[in-house]
Formats: sequence, C-alpha cells, structure tokens
Amino acid sequence: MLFIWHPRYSNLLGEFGEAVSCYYVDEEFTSYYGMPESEKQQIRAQEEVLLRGVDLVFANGSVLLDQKNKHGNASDVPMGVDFGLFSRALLEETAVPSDLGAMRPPESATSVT
Amino acid sequence: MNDKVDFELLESIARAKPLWSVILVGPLSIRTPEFRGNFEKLRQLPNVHHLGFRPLETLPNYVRGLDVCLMCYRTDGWAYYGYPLKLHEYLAGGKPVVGSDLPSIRVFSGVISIASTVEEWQSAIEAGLNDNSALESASEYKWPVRILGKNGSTD
Repeated sequence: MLFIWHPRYSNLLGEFGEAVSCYYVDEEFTSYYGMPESEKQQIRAQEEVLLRGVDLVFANGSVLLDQKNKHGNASDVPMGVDFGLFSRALLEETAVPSDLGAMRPPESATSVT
Repeated sequence: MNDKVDFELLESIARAKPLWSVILVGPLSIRTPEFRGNFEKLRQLPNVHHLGFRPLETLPNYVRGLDVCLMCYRTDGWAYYGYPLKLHEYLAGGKPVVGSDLPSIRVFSGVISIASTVEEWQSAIEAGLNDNSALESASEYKWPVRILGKNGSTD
C-alpha cells in the first residue's frame, strides 16, 4: 500500500508496484498566506495527479471532502481524540501545573458590575 | 501558535478584559511577518502569557487549569480549511469551548459556542465562565469509535 500525504510526492504514484494507493489530505496546500501563485499552480497540478490516480482519498473534514472528491474516490475522515488522555482533565487527581496555578483566575461574568 | 491564529482578535479580547488571563500553550511557528508582529504585540500585554511547548502528556493538566478553551482562528486562507484536533481534545476535557466561525467548527455548534466579533467572543467566554457542566459529546470522537463505529464493529 502506498500512502501519500502531500502533493509533492505525486511522482511516486505507481513506483512501488503498490496494490492500493491512498492520498491523505488534511489541509488545503495552496492556501498558505503569501504563497506565490506559481507555487500554487504547481501544487494544484501535482494534487490533481493524486486525486485522479489514487484508489482512495481520505479528506480530513467535510470542507476538504467537498474540494477533493471531484473523482468520487474521497471519504471524510474526521478528527478523533485520545479520549482517555484528555478526559483526565476531569479528574480531581489531575494537578494544575504550577505555571498556571500561580495566575489570577478570571473574573466571572456574574461578579462583573 | 501558527499563522491560523487570529492574534489581533486575541489582543482585542485581552485588552477589553484585563482581569482575564489569556494563556497560550504551544511552540511558535508563525511564517507571515505581519502575523508575527501581531503576536509580538499580543504577548506584551500583562494578562497574556505564552508558555511555549508543553509535552502532550501534560496537556490534560493544562486543560484542567483553564476555565474556557478557545479556538481563536482567522477565517480566511489556510485557516478556513482547518479542522482543529484541539476541538475534540477540549471537549474530552469537559471544558466550555468557544471557536471561530469556520466550516469545520460550525458542525459542532450544538456543543460549543461560535463567535465572530470581539463582542461575541466576550459574551461567549463570559457564558463559558459561568458554565459548570461537563460536555459529553466528545466520546463520539474517541479514536476507536471513529475507526470502528459506535457499535465497535467495522460494518
């Protein structure tokens, strides 16, 4: 299986005799602030090779899915979370770091006059 | 802290609410000179604290210490297409969340607050400060559930 995550590697498609090829796209690579138009055009061309050539496109979220499903081979793969790790924030035993604990708590809206 | 973050908006919020502490966690990775300048202005404020990089395993500790978690992103260019992982990390931590009006965030408007103007951000944060309820929706976004489905199978 060939798994490609950036259009710049589009030239590798088919180079390994892969049985399945995937393109995982988690951002719009032509949308960086200040990116020259010539670079955008190059990336668009490279990405089109991927979108047309791979078996599966995994788009991170519905916005990218809309953009990248022009050949009907894309699926929306939403973000997930390490719930076990981050839900530890709910536990009494989880200590607030000292660099936060020393700060003044915010004034709540109910105490604003 | 990258080019997606709306540092000007954060500055406006911090200036309007000097008794609030704005905590920024994460390494700096700002490429656009204008945005870098905006960040430098922001972090000069006395109630703004940039802590820099913190290891992944300590992030729940930081989330526990926060009252409201923010996703204060620009809504143009690169940021427009973003889908912040921290959205689900914040929700898993049971905290009130306020986010910019981005398409990927709008999907979750039933469980978080969405704000555009400075006034809307202030109101949403104030509402969050008074919200003691932990949110449950994050469990749908556990990685095993995302991969296997809610019933634990790949059907």
